[in-house]
Amino acid sequence: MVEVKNISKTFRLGKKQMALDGAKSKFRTAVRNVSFNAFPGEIYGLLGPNGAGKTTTLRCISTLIKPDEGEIIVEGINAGTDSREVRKRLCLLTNDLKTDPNFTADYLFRFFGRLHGMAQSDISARREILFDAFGIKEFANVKTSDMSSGMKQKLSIAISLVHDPRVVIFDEPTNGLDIITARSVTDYLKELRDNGRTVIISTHIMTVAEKLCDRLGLIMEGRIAAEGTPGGILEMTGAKDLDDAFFDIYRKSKEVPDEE
Amino acid sequence: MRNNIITIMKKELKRVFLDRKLAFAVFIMPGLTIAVIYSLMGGMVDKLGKDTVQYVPVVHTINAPDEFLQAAQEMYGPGITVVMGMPAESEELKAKVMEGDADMLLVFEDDFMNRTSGGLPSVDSYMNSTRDYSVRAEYMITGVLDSLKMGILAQRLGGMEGAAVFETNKKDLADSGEKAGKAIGMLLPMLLTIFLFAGAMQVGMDTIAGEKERGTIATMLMTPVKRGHIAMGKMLSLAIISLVSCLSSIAGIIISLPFSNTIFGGGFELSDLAYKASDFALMILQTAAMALSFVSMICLISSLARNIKEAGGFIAPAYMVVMVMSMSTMFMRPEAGWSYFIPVYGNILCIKDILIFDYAPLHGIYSLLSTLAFSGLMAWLMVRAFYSERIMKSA
Repeated sequence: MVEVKNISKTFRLGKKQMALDGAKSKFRTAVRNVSFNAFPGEIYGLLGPNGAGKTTTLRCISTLIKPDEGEIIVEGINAGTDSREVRKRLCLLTNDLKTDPNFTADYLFRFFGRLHGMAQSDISARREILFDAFGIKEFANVKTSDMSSGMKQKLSIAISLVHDPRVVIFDEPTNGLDIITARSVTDYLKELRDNGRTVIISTHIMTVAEKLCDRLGLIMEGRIAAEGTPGGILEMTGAKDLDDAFFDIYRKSKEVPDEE
Repeated sequence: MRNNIITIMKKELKRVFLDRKLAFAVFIMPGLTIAVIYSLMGGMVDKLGKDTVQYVPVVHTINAPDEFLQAAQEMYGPGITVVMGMPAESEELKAKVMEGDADMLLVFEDDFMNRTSGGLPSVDSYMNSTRDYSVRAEYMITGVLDSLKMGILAQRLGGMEGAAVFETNKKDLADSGEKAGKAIGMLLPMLLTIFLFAGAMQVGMDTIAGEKERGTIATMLMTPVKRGHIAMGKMLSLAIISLVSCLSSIAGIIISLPFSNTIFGGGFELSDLAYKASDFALMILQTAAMALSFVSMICLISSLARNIKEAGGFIAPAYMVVMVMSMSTMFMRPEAGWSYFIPVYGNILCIKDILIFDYAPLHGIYSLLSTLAFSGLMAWLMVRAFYSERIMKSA
């Protein structure tokens, strides 16, 4: 289980970033008082436009960055005080996570298994399962520099899952994937959920959210604007589909005055 | 903990050792390049020296007395060509010396020999210091004029016995080993330092900044391994790589020695270098300490940089400082003991001291302590950088 309690995160912008964003302030609050719980056996989706704060939230949960305020509890462990223990129990996959081009899939898989403190036999057992699930066996001994982007993405996923984490976090899981790879990824996420894992994903694609997620948190300008099951959100807004519901909530969130 | 560091070290070493192109560039290329370049340089310097010695300089003279011609003939025989000229040709001959068409011009005062008995006649010599042959001619003519001077003195004092006041007998008491040590100790510490830094720099920029640029370091940061251990694993593997790369460069120098002996001062054989096992052990210790300080510094810089290009820009000034430090030890050997406390500089001085058989253990301790403290500080800052969100944000 993952408990996110009132987390906020502010970044200091460089001059270049300020110019790019047209920002007047040196500071940008990416996430404001975000709270939600994700339970074992469910896929929780953070749905929002680009720059809404989805990735920052996921990176905070994954302990890559620390929230300025609030608390994150992963499987009963405080991510702020015991980040290493948290990392033993979760994995993060984003498009930013790349594989070293100088090594084969097999070597990298075993390398990361060792870094997770796994025994050689356990690594081999996980290799069998994951290489099978993502069809990596055929290119297990190919250097990643010689792989297609789809192959690399599959390998990244397999590497992230090497230690069989209780909590799986995927940032935009189907981004940049071909239709077949995307399907194998979403199928595997469902399988993880069915095996009692806590899965949190972020996406800006409505169909992915609708088909994959058991519950959704609609995140806009760093805040959770609405939360519930896809059906519950449709009911709450009275919209025909998630697309309309999203824009309805987006409009309403714009009408709420800023607290700061 | 140790296992994680070793796992990361193995991966980093494998990356370099098993990549044929990279391994060739880091471990073979430096040695090969140095062996070829030094052999060629040594060959050229040798050839130049031989050419100059074998060359027969052409010296033009005006009003030269017969005694001078006789002295030149006695000293060098056909090894020098003396051409007699007329006073009117003086300007033309000077121009020839300037252009390199003649090697030297000597203008004696009219009636030179007679004037030596009553006055102080002069000889004006014209040479071109930018031309090796002219310099060689001047060296020879100085000897001839000295001989002429002695001859005149002998005449005045009634024989050569009267002209001689004392004689000098020069005896070099240094043994061949020390001479060889002095020769090798001038250049080798500087070369060792530069090769060590260059070896570390080549791979060091890629090991962290490159991983940040490619986005591969984030995968490692997501494991439960302490970030400090990731940093240490990378740093220690880089130390091994830079040492092996440096060994390749040293091997290159050794291979080239039969041809490049002249560059190192000349006049010694490899067999003259009678270092003991303890000398080699001390040299390895100092070199390893220096490698540690280089890699810790390069790793810190690489951690702070966002990409390889930026890392290259940051490392360049550090490389300059190291080069200046190492070059200064070629000509200077400070007396003050505190000099050995300067990280890197102290190590270079110690290596030089070992090579010239003048090593003081206390200086060795100073240099090792300061280098370890410096490396520790760099490593600590690097680990801090690994924990910094701002620095690792690109990961």
